[in-house]
Amino acid sequence: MKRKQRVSPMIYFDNAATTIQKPPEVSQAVAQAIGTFGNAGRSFHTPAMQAARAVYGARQEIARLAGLQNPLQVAFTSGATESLNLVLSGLIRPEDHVITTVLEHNSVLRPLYQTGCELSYLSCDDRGMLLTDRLPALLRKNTRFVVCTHGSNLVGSVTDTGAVQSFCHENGLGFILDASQTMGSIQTNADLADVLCFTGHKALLGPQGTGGIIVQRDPGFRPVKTGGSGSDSFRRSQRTTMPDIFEAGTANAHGLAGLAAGIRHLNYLGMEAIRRHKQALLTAFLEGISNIPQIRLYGSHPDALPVAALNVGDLPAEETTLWLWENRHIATRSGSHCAPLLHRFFHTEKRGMVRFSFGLYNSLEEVETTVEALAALVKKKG
Amino acid sequence: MIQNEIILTFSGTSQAIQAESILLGAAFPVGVMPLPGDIRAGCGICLRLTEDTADTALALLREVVPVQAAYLRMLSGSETRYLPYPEEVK
Repeated sequence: MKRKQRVSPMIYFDNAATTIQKPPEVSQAVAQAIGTFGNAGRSFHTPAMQAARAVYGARQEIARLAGLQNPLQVAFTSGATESLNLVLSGLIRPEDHVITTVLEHNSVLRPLYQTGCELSYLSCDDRGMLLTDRLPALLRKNTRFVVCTHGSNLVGSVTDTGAVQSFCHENGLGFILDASQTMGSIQTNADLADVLCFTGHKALLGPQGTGGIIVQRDPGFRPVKTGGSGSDSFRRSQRTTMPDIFEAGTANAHGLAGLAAGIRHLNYLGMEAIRRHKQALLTAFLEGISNIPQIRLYGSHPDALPVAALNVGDLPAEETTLWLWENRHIATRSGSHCAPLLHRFFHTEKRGMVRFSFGLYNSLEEVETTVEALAALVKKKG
Repeated sequence: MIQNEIILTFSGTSQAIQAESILLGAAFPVGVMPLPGDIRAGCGICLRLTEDTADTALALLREVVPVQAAYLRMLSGSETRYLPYPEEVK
């Protein structure tokens, strides 16, 4: 007879990468959509109209969440990476100068590099807070845009968008905000910037393959992705009005039905209550690890997004994350988190960091278990 | 069966769906049909309204969604004719 192995339930602290536990309504909406939807906007029959109405329903949910009057200011994409590629490639020319920051994810940096534009980088302090008072020193004659994250995916610092927006207004610059980590996590209004790019599969609790672009002020987009839209079929070029300019091809109506369900669930629970819950998890985690002197915490602070990045003793990050997974079934993320400039700032390019990111369905007990696990790791290897 | 109705055309499908959402929200009896070949419009679908509700519906949409054009759809035997609807909608 086989001995029964005790398997501890997984503790999932990789919510900044994606949330894996979704409200049941999300999978129900997707399953129903897959069995019934036609192609949104391509015909008038019931299956096509069901899909079109679901896509419009998702626009309405995003618009409500972001404080937008017109849901057609929301265009859908496959996620924040596609959104940023479409926006940045559609706006920036090689002769332009763009100000970005050391907090950025590669979904911002690589599209920027690909444009061939001149770049300047706004730095941050040891907490990961951007030094926005240094923006004027980066200004050049050909500066056209500021492109920055709303919240760091690595250390959780939240950008003072008011300061960036004032700088942009004073100097006639466009302001593009990457809201991948903030939409659904903290209040993210459309008026924070001219253009916001977001993803659906993180704090919004939608399926992977959903995301979008919110345009508060059109800085003069050129179409990047072209193709069928169900409109103006005899026209040779893509329509340049929202949302068609970003939506060539068949919409992910199945996924968007799930995204709308995810947002409705967030609204049902209350955004502020969710924020407080995640904040309590982060605070408990930070307090817990503050008693373990061998832990080096990077940048995070109690007002940040529910994200903490650290290293344990002299251990490489991958050893810590591997030990937590193999011994305690705790899922974290090590490595460079697609944020090369911030790792360079903290001199962790080689070693990496271990990121813990907390979500709606995590509990204080899970945080306590994880702090105990880190203490045990220190005792064993530290 | 409705003999005469008003159809509304739009520049794009998103605008048509938005208009339908607004009209359904206000309890208008609104239908959808493919854009007739005799009519040029951006969007390949158009909305159908009963003639008696068209003016109120157009007034409701006026400040929110641009209607590209409106037509009176007249069924006469096997023939269907589309006449520009007299109300100013542009």
